[in-house]
Amino acid sequence: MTFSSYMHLARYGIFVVIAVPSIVLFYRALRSLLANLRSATRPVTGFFLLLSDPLEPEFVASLPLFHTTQIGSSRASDIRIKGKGIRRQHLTIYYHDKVWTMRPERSAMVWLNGRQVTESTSLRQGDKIGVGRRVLSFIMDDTCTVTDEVTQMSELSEAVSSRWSVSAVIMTLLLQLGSLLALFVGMRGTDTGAVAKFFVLVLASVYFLLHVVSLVLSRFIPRIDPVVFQAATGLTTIGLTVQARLLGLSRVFPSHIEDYTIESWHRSLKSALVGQTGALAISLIILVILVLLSQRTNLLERLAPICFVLTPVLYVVTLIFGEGQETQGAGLWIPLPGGLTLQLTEFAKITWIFTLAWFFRIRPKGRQLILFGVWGILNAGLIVLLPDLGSIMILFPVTLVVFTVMTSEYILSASVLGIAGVAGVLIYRAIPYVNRRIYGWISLWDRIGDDNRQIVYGLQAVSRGGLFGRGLGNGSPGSIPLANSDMIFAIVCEEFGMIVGVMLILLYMTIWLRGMSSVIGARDGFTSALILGLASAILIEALVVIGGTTGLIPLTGVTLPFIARGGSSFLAKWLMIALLLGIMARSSALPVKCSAKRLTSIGELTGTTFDRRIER
Amino acid sequence: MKSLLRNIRIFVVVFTVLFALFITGVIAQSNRARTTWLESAGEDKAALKSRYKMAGEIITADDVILAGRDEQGNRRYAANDVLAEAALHLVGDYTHNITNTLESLWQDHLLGSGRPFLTQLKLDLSGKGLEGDDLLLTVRSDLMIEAARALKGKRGAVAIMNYRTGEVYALVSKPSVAPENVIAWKNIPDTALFNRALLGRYVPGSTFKIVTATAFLNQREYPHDLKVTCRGKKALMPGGVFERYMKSTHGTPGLEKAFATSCNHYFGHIGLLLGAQPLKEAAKALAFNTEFSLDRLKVAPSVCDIGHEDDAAITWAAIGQPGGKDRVSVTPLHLAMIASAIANGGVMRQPYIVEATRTPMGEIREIDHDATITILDRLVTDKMSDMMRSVVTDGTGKKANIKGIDIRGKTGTANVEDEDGKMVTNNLFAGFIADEKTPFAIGIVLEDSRSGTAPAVAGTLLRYAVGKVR
Repeated sequence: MTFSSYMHLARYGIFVVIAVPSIVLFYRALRSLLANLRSATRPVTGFFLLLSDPLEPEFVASLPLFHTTQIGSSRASDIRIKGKGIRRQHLTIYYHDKVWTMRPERSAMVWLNGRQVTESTSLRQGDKIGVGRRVLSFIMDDTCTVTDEVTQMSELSEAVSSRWSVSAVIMTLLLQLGSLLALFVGMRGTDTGAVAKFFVLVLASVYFLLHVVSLVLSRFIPRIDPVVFQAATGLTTIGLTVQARLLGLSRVFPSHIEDYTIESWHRSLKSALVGQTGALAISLIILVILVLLSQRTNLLERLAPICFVLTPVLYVVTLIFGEGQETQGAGLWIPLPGGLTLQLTEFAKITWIFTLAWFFRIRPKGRQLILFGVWGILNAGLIVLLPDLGSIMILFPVTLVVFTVMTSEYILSASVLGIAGVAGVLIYRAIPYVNRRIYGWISLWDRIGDDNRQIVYGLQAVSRGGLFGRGLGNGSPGSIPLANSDMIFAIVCEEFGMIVGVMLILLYMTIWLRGMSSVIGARDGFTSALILGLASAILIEALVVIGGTTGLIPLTGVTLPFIARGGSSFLAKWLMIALLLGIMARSSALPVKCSAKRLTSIGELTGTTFDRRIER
Repeated sequence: MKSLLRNIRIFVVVFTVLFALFITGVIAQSNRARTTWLESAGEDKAALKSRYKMAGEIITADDVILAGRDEQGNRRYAANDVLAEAALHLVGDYTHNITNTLESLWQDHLLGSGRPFLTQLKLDLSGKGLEGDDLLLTVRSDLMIEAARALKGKRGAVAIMNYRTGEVYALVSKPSVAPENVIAWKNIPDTALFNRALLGRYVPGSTFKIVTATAFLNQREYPHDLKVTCRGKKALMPGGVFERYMKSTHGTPGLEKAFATSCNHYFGHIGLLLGAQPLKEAAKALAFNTEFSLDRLKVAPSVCDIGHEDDAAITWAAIGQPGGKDRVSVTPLHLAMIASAIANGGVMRQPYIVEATRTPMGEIREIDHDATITILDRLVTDKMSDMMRSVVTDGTGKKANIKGIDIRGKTGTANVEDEDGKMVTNNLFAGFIADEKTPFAIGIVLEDSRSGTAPAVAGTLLRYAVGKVR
C-alpha cells in the first residue's frame, strides 16, 4: 500500500477525532444555553433596592437588581411601577466600570435624595431614589443572597459545562500526533523531505505550548470557559494540519521558475510555516496575560474610549500605507521590516467591537446614537475606500446584532437593514470589483468565467471529497486559486470530507452558543455587549467565508477563522478568544465595598424595621 | 434585563434557524456540484494529472485499453496511434480540453468518487480505495481502426451500431489528432477537436427522402402507386427542385424506383402533396427535434424546422435541401439510428456506449440501457427496408453493394457552403445489413466529397464488420 492509500484509510480516523470532540463540545454548549435560557434573569448578588411608600409606612419590599435594571410602567421593565407621571421607560440603573449609575430617561421625573435629577448620577449606599410616590433605596449587602431553584439549576449546568472535556483533549491530541506522523512519513523521500523534521518539530512545539497554556488556564484561572478554548484549539489544530499539508505534502519543486533553487524553496516553506505557528505562539502568550487582565481589571473599560479614536486611525493608516492592490483587489497589507506584513483591518474589527460595546452597554440616548451613527458611517466610508468589503460583511451584521439585542430597537434595526440594502445596491453598481463578483455569483451555475472560476473549482473540490474526503494529501489544492486562504474550506472538505466541514461549522457555533450563555449571566452591560460582539464576529466571519466558498452567498475576501493562512488574522482571532475567555470568566458577583454593620441604619433611613429575610 | 433575556432568546432562535438553513445549503451546493460542471475546462493541469493517476481504465469490447496507465502511473491513451486518434473525441483527455467526452463526463466513476459507503470501505481496506472504476465500452477497437483508415485524409464521421440492442460499435470523426497534442495544446489541425459524429449538424440531402417517403406511406389517402414524370434540369415549379447532378431525366418512376434513383422531382412532388406538417410529423417519429444523449455524451439534436417559406421551398425541404428560414439537419449518429429504426421493424433503440463499470476489485456492474426512443409503423418500415435494398442493388448506392451481404440504405448529396463561403457537396449514407446475425447499422457523412464515396466506405466497413463476425 502506498502513502496515499494509507491516508485514504486514515480519513476515517480523522473523521472520528474531529467529529467526536465537535459533537461533545456542541452538545455541552447547547445544553447549558438551554438551561440558562429557561431560567429567569439572575440578579446580581450583594445589591438590591428597597421599595417603600411614604404614605404607607407598613409597606416595604426588597427588589433584585440586575446589571442593567429598567424601571418603568411598561411590561418589559424589570421593576414595574405604575402611577401618574411614570413613563414606560422611566429610569435605568446600571453597573459599569465598578460604579452603579442611575440614568433617568428623557423627560422622566426622578428624585435623588430629594433633589430632582435629569443627568446620569452615580449611586451610593442608602441613596433614596424617588419615582412617582414610591421611594427606592439603593442598598449594598453581601450577606444577603437571593437563590432559588431555577438559579441553582442553571448554576449546576454551568458547573457541568465548565469541566474540561477529557474526550476532546484526547481526540485533539490524537489528531495532533496523527497529523505529525502523517506529515513526517508523507514528506520523507519527496522534494520537501529535507524540511520534514523542521515541520514536525515546529508544529510539535506549538501544540505543546497549546497544551501548557490550557493546563495553566485550567489550574490557575477560576471560571475559565473550557468549551470555548477547546473549540478554538480544535479549529486551530485542523488549521495548522491543513496549512502544513499545503506547504509540505504532495509538493513538487517548481523547477520551471528561473533562478529558483531548491534551498530557497525550502526556506520559503519554512518561513510560511513559522509565520503561521509564530502567530499562534505569540497569541498564546498574550492570551494568558489578556485573560487575566480582562478578568481581574477594568482595563477593557478604559480601552473602549481609545478604540473609538483608534478604529478610524487604523483604517486611515491602511489606506495610506497598505499594499496588495494589484494582487488581491484591495490594499490591506502594511509592509513591516523583515518582509513581514500586517493586516491592521483584522485588528480594527476588534476595536470596532469595543467601541460598539461601549456605546451600547445600555440603551443610548438620542445624541449618543447619532454620534455612533456618524462614527459608523465615517468608518464604513473608509472601509469602502480601501476597499475591504469583507470587513463590512462582518462588522455590519455584528453591529446590528449587538445594537438590537442591547436596545430592543427592532424597528430601527429593520430600517437600518433596509437602508443598507439600498447602499449595497449602490456599491454594487459603483464598484466594478464588487459588480464582477456578484455577477460571477449570480451566473455561477450557467457560465464559468474569470469572476467565478474560483468558486466553481472550490465546489468541485468539495464534491470530489464526498462525505469522508480523499485523505490527507490526496486532494488537489493546486487547481484552486487562493487555496490556502480564501478557499481553505474547500480543501478541508476535499481531504477530510463534507462531514468534517459541517463539524467545523459546529465548532464555530459552539463558541457562539457559549458566548450567548454568558451574555445573560454577565457582570455588566459592557461585558454582555462585548461577549455578544466578539462571539458573533467569529461566527459571522466563518459563515461568510464558508457561504462564499460554497456559492451560497457572493464570495468576499475574508479568511476562515483559525484555519486560513495569514498571521494577522490568526493573531486577531486568538486575541478575540483571549478577550472572550477573560470577560466570560468575570465573576458575576460584584465587589461589595460596605460592611454589614451599616445595615442597621438603613432601617432607620427607610423608617421601617428591616429584617434579613428577602423575598423576591 | 428582562428585555435583554428576551432579545437573546429571539436571536438564539433566529441564529439556530439560519444555522440549520446554512448547513443544509452547504450540503445542497456540494451535491449540486457533484453533477454539474463535470466538463469544465481550464483546471490546473498538474492537479488534473495527479488526480487521473489513479483513474480507472477505459476498455473496448475486445479488451483494448483506450485510456490507462503507463509505467510511471501517468494517464496514457491507446497504444495504437490510429486507434488513439480515432477514439480521441469519444475518450477525450484528462486535461478536459475537449469537454463532451468519457474522461470528463464519467470522471465520477473513473476517479472513484460517490461510491456507496460499504463498497468504498471494502476498497479502502484492500488499499484500492483511491483507484477509480474501469469503463467497459461497447466499442470495438478493430472497427474503430478500420473506420479511421477509411476516413483517412477526409473530413467526416462514421457511426456504426447494433440496431437490435443499441450498442455502438464505432464512432469516429476526422480530422483528429493525437491525445498528447491535445494535452500539450499544440499542433492541433483546424476543427480536429470537433466531435462530428455526435455534434456535427449536417444538411441531410437525399437521406432525408427516408423521412419524406415514410411521411408519404403514412398517409393512407394518397395512392401509393403514384407516378411522377421527371423533368431533369427543369424545375418542378418556379423556384422548385430539379435534378442538379443529372443531364437526363428519371423518366416516370413510381415510389420505389424514384427512391432508388433518388429522383428529386418525385419527392418534390409528394412534398408538395403532403405539405410541411406531415413531413415534420414523420421527422419527429424518426427522432428529429428530439433530445437524446449517448451515455451522458451530448448529442446535437437533429432539426426539422420547415414550412416557413412558400410551396417551392417545401419541395426543397422534402429532398433534404432546405432554403430560406427552413432548417433541416442530421448528425452522423442519428443517420445510423434512422437506418436502425427501419432495420429493426420500426423500433429505434436508445444507442449506448458504456456497457458496464468495473470496480478495482473486479466487480462488474452492468448499466441498464433497455430503452426505446421511438416506434414506427412496421408495415411502413418493412416497405422502406425493401426500397432501401433497391437503392443498393439498382440505384444510387451501388457502391455499397457487397456480394453475399444484404446491405440496404439511402445515399445523400448535400450542397452546403463551407467556412470560406465556397459551395461544396457533402456525401452521406444511412444504411444497415438486413441479417439477424449481423444487425449492423451505419451512418456516414463525408464533407466535400464526390457522390458515391460514402456508400463505398459503408460497403467496406460493413464487409469488414461481417467478416469479423463470421
